[in-house]
Amino acid sequence: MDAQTLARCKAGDVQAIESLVLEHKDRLFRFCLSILDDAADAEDATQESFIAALKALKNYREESSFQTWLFSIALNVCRSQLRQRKRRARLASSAALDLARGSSNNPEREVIESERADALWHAIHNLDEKHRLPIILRYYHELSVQEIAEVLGIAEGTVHSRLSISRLQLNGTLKRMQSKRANR
Amino acid sequence: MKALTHAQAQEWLQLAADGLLPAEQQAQLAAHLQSCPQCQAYADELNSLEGLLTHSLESRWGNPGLPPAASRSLLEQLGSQPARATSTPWLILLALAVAALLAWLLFGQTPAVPGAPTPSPSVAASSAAATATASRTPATTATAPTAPLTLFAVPLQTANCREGNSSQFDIADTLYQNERYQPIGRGTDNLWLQFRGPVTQTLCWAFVGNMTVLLNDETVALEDVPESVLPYIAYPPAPTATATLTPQPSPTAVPQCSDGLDNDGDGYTDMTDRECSDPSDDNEAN
Ligand SMILES: [Zn+2]
Repeated sequence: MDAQTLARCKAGDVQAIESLVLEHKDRLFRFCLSILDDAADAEDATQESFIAALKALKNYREESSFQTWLFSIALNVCRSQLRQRKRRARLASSAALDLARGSSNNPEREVIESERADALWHAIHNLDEKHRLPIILRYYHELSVQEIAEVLGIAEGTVHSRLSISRLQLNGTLKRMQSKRANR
Repeated sequence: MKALTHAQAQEWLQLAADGLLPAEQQAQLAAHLQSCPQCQAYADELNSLEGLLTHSLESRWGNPGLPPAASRSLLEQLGSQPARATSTPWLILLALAVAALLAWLLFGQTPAVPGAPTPSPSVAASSAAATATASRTPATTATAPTAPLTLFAVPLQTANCREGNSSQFDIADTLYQNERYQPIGRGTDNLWLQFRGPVTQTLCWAFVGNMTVLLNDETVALEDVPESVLPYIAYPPAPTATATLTPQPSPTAVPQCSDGLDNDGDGYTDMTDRECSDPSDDNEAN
């Protein structure tokens, strides 16, 4: 986004805000979808994130890209949604998926019965948040390590170490799955 | 040029996957791969995993845009409430309400407002009892309207604001590096500050070790901030895992970031290790 549009947005220019929204809404929706794994929740989170971002626009420094700044705001909105979801699940005392921590009822069974891509998705989903988010940002959103560091507010070295650990772990899961299949 | 070990070559392959391997080392790595079937196999496996990761995530979520109905509703909402500074009228109303309540508690009168009817004598009669009540409860709000001190916390690096005073609690919001945030309370050990999450508006806690505390723009130790400026607040109880959750690491175990050991062997111990986000972090390696 150019500095002029940004300044107009800060001043509350409706047209500038509209062009900002149009430019970023689809990517932001996919970002929320990849955190929440639910399209309806992702729609809500996208709207909420834009509203929060416009309120916080005066805090935006142009040292990071607008997109990574927007993603970092959306991440907090999504986390807040996940917590509400977790509370709802607790109230209903259901044994539903705990998305925030990514535990699943019966991962073994799911892994064996799913197709390979689906199984790998479950393995990603079962990573804890600090390992899952870098993988999703790198391989679904195709962000660079520097951009991931900006979104998550951690050092680039930390992003790399989390990505490496996750890749080794996911590769191990894939191998175990393949050997189980071969034995059936 | 010193020959690469297999372990080093594989580490470099991981760096290269993240676009972090300098060009010079890329050439050295390529040479090693040509003569090393073991590392070439590792490279192939990593490459195929990366392809699968992208494929897997794309087949899960596809490439959708925000649905048209949601886009329209978003634009309508934003059009009707253009960006503006956080509205304060309710704060002013709150302050007036607090002042009125205090006045009533202390003097049994409504505050003098020009043109307002004078309070009836029957209200004044109850003032002694009201004053007694007020003096028993420390009126934390009493100093607020006139407090000349300003207090800010400035994160030295972007910090998590959590629902409680350890990394076992969920992250509620983020406090950005070099921004000024107004804490609303502190833990009894002066180690964590409480904030209202700037985005989520939930109450959350951030570790004070990674922050500068500014009292009237001067750096101070949190211990030296008067209680009238920043009250002590009890920490929330440790999160309890519900029956459906996977077992959490035992809370009685000393976390890696405060056990006095260099757990990951990188030469840094506990909070001197940059991988430690706070003393309750149980992973020194990342
Ligand atoms: Zn080798």
